[in-house]
Amino acid sequence: MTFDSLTFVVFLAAIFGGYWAVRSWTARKVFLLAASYLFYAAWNPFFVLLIIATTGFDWLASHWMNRTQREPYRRVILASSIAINLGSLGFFKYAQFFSDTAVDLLHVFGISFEPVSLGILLPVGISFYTFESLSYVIDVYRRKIDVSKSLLDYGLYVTFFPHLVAGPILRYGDFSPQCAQPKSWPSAEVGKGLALFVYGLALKVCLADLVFAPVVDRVFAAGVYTGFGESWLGAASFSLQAYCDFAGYSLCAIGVALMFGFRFPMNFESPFGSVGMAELWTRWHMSLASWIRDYVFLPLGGYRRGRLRGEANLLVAFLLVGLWHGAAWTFVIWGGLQGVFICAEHLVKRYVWDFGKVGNRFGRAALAVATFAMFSIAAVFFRAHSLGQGGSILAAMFAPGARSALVPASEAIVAIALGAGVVGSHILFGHLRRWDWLDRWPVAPRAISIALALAAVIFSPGFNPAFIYFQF
Amino acid sequence: MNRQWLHAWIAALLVCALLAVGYEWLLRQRGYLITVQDDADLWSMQLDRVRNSSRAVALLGASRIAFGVDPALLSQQLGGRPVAMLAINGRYPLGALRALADDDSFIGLAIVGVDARGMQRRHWDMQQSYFDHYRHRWTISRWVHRKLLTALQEHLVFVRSAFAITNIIERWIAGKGPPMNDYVVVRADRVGFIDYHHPDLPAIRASRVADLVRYYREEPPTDAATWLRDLDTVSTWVEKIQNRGGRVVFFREPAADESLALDEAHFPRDRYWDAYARRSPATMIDFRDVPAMTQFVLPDTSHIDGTDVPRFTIALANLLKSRKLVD
Repeated sequence: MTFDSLTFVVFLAAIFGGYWAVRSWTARKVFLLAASYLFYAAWNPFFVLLIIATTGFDWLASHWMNRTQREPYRRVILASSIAINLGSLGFFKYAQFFSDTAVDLLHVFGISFEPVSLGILLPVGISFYTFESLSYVIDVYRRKIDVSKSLLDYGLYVTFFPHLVAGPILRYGDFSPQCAQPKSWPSAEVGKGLALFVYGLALKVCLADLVFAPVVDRVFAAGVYTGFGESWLGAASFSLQAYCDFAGYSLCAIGVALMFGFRFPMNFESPFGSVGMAELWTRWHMSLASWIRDYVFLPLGGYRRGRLRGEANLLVAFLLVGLWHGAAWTFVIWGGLQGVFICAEHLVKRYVWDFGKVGNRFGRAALAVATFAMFSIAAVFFRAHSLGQGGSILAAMFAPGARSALVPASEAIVAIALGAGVVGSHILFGHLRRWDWLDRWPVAPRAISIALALAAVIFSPGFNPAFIYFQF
Repeated sequence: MNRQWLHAWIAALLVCALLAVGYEWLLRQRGYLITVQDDADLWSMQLDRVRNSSRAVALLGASRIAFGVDPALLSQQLGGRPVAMLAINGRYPLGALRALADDDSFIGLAIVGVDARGMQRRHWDMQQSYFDHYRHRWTISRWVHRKLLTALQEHLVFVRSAFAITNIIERWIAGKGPPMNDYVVVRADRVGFIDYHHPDLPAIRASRVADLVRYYREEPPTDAATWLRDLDTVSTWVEKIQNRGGRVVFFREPAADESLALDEAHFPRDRYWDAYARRSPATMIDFRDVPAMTQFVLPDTSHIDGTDVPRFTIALANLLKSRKLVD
């Protein structure tokens, strides 16, 4: 059940009505938890059992850890929980990848094996809820948060339906106080939540699906030759498609949660207004970036053991970001490129030019466009079906003479115009953080913005493709 | 809800309602018809209907079946058997037969509308993506979504992708004008009714014939020996279905004039269709052998007019009964 389906509209209306009709706070949370399992079962009922099992185990593990003061025991319990979570993720998401890679490696050494199709179905959203579970047990181990006294609250933290399948990746420390606080109708920002939901839908349904996806599909179709201009157009369009798709989903999730009185962290803050890749990663998929920082980069040592070691840690962290996104070498290359760009940026800033200090508005805008171009170069591997395809499109991006005619001019014009609008709005309004400024708007601009977004959704009937990030 | 938000929402909903009413009125003024937009979800709903029923009838094929047989009427004619329209416009159906053969829950009657051209191995996978969709993406939530979307499309013109605002803008930039006025009206059970009282009928007919001429120029026919050998594999699918109690009928639907002449020139009946009929475990019916099937006018040489669909459906039901393919 995706946010852009009519099924979800019916589901949301029913759950919203039921939630506010129930008086007891505990009963409301039980109701939300049951609704969340129903939401998840809409994909595959079997996987509800998986999520219940891992939720139960992690909750028990945190209690066992809390009960004993003996460090070796606590470490064993933590290791078991991590092993079970990563084992489950590894089996469902990476088993085929590792098997294929092993077959390829053996082939290099002259040993031939038929590739085995394991036929494993990927539980939707497993990468998201696994990271949430891991952050909880690790934070309990580190004694950064109190153990969850309520299995109900912990279950809701893992499975609350707005964030369940594609984030934002929550932290128990932020969510737990919200579970303790009963919600009353006036406190719920229903109107604003619904508005955010519609803005997010407009990004997904109108821009991602109808404007950018058709261009991307033509450029990245198997077996086609792409020239210089269309390679750039395809790469930039994919960056914008990924943004509108995922930021749109995140905004929907934040809006829906708000309708139930819960506040989720921001996941995107005008990333294409960033000057440099390092800044972009503080504004793009923020909940994943901060997770990787806290549970991978810093435990590896961060920059504490010198610059060189720090940059190596950064590279490792970004390779993992790539692998988290998908079980394919194209994603690993994408993650690696992000890391390389940031390391290079650190060197340039340190020894050549600290462009982060440019104060001129036009200069910053030009740097933001350059950053968008860098991001789009890496994005080629995110979208490519194979390393070969990624390589040939990347080569075409640096061969100005190469020509192709895959995208009709009308599609290109609309994509370029709206893409420029998205990037331009990030540059111009990137300083507006969160959505609190919306509350200060008078009624008229609020109504206009909602009407525009709603009209974009209503007048964009299409074929309902899945959200890109659901595959992760 | 906060009062300011409430006012903003009421104003926005009013504006959108007015826009929707205006757009719908404009489209109807321009003669656009209400029609359901076919897709893999609508097709999957049909597949659900024929699983686990020995009385089920699955209509496989391409446009000639999709725009020729009314499943509801056929069901009525066959005593209430569940009938599913699984034909897909523009895609030959043998891959669908293979998928039904591999699906043990299918134990009914498969009527495969196909000609010798469509039985060539190179066309076998054309419908596979629909089965892949059913296997990997068809869920209860998609079912609900599709039900609601169909209900909207049965009442409103603008809820089809052709009328998406971005599509209109792109067409305007490209100088293509408004979207083409559909001359096929599709119902929720996927049967399509073609309106050949269209002013451009000569152009439609000429275009269809030109397409067929180009097809035969670009894709020369498989030689008869290879074609027959390939169909031995198809026979194993037929046997698989028939061994568990089902039946398979290959039905060569009506064609006329240039289309029939071109098909016959490239796939002579005696060397292809009849040759396979002699060795096939399936029942094979050529429309030319059924007098009732030769009575139809085919305005574009390949499809009947929508008004003839009931008559054609009844003729098909009578044919199935006369051949004792149904009780």
